[in-house]
Amino acid sequence: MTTSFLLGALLLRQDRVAVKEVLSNGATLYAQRLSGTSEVAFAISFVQRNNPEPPETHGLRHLAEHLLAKGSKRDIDQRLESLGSVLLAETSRDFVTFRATLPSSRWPDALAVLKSLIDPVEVTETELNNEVKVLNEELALRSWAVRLVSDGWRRTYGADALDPFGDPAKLSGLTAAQVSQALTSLRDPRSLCIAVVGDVDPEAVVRRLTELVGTQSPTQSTDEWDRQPGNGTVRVGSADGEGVCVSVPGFMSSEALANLAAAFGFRAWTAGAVALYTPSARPGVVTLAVKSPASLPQSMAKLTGRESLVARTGLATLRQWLREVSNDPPKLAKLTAELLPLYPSFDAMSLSKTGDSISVIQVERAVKSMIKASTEAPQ
Amino acid sequence: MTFALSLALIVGPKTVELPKAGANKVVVQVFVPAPNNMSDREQAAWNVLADVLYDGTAEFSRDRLAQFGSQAGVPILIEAMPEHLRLQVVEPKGGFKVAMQILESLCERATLSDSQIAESTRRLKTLQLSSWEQAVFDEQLPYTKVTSEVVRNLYQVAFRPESFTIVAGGEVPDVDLAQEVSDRFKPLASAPPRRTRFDYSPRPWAKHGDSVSTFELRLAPLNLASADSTARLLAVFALGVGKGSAMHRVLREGKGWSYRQEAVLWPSKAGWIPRLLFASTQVSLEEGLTARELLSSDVDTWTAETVARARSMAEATFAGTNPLSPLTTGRDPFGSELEDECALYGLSMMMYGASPKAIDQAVSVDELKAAAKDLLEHAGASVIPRS
Repeated sequence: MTTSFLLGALLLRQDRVAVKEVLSNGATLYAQRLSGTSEVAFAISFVQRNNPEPPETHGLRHLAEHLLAKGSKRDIDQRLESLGSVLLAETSRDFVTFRATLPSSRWPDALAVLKSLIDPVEVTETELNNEVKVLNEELALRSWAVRLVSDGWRRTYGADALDPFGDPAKLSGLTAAQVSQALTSLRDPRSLCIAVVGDVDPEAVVRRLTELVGTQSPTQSTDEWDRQPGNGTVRVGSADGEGVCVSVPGFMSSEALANLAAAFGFRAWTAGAVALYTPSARPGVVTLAVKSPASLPQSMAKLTGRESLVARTGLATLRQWLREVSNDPPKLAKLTAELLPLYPSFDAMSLSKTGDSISVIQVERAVKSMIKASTEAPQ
Repeated sequence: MTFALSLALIVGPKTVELPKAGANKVVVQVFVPAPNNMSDREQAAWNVLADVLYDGTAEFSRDRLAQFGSQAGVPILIEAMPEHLRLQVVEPKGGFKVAMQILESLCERATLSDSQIAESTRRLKTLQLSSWEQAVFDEQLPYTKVTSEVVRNLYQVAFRPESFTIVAGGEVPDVDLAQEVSDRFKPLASAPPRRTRFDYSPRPWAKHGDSVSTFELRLAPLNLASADSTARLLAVFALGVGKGSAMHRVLREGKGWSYRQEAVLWPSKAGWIPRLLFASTQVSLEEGLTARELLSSDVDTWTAETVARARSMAEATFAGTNPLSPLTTGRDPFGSELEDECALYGLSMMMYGASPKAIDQAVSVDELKAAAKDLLEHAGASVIPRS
């Protein structure tokens, strides 16, 4: 083990304590006691450390997420749901994340089930073909807002910012052996972070996690990759809706949070508006969008002269959200599992502090910038 | 959980109290039942009414509503469902009276100007719904026929305090809620006005605007306040809730037909209607309609593990910890927030005058299978085809 320490600084209240360990194989383990809750949340994240996937296998990580989610023995859903929990899986640009929440007393049972997410998986051709069909179905159900965000990423970060969803057509030619290889690479312990938050003994949890993942060996190179800063603010639009996409530095930067607060403010003041952001330590995109076609400039124009009110509303919402994240096991576990490998100083206390340090003036500036961008024609 | 309910003695609103020690916010919700047998035109006007309420009241302009209504970081919510409307205000600790003032004003003195109604109607008419939303919320409605007269008439007909259900949760002050509510929401002396004329012109044949077809099996309503519903409720969970459900195993894992397939518990005045829905771009209409037989065959394979999984998922759902909850209390997924719990109890009170409690009874494998077979056999099947 290379590091092992008790995060005394994480004591927001006297009854909260956290343990973090980075194992010699590179896996990051984290457990935090959160009193006043009767549940425990698990988040298992595989960070995209190396270069993003190439266009010729675009979507392989997403396909891998679908296949890993079945578990090495294909019984993960039946077992987990019999414990009253559900496995949630998600692929974003920087992570593949699995999550589950249970009553606190069930954490050892849950770990035994979730272990099959990191065990070796063999995929059959039948399973592969079936899952590519399912991905096609998922593609057809993608929401208008997610499609807008994808467009915003492309315009903000260029053609390299491939959508994490992928292109099922590119995947239909893959063999089961190629996909099994990709699964092995994705599950590399250097990419792995497990966060457990709830009414648990953090030291006992980390000890058990160490037994489960400590023997795995790294399989991939350690070339680290980072996203270059984005191209400011862009207006996006389609037949389904319109939006403004703002490129921001990583989560925990005041710029990212001020823009998120601005988007929250708009959402509160504008019927049908949505605010979207995928927290990451890497540069990302905050999107504000409205559903009805051609109504973004009109919706925004109504808020001219009310920027301060919008900013105050948004800041209150942001702070409420950050408080919730800090005290809600599922939200805190997910954020921790995703941010900790790329942002080693991340903790719940710094999250609340960053929220408190944002000023109304910063948010108001972001509001004005979004209003200005909304008047430009979609590119 | 501390839970208290009271039925006002005469004809006042029904109230539910869900106080939470140490809560830093108070949630107040008003449930307004929709008039019976609304036409499509009225249904469209019902949605416009919910949308236009955000525009203000005699006491609260739109700005003041947004300002006072979001002090706890949770914006005011006014949400139309086909058979009810929910108004929700969340205030920081100590804000109970402010929440009540806002709600009283919204329920009794909404502005509802012609220009606001016209603008909301325009917005809703052009609102783009996904195929899934279209299938669940069934909102291909004739907004072109909505007039200010119909919207204002609906407000007067439906917003009768005697029909309200009011829920207060979180940091609720030590007051007699029923008394507080009946003081503030006094029954109206006048009889409700007559509803404007019905318009039963047939709706055009529904069709999705994209490549997705949605299929539905609609089952008989459940009374979740009755323990007798346990077997049928668990059957719904075994059929369609979670990734271990029959729908997921058969339609997704077995056939590769769909990405999204699930049971929805839909609120109605008759009870919670279980709806088994799935979306597919590849199956033909005939093939999709064989889902009933496929699921029925799967029921034959169920074991004690099926019962255990269904019960665990149902318990997690009512505890608010099932992220794939079938409960549809509104547009957003039902979760563990205080607002969700208030919505569940409010709807239950509105439907049955009692709290939900339908997973009390033991259920054997045979009982579960029989309940599932019966539900499937009597289900109504429908499809919205792709374009």
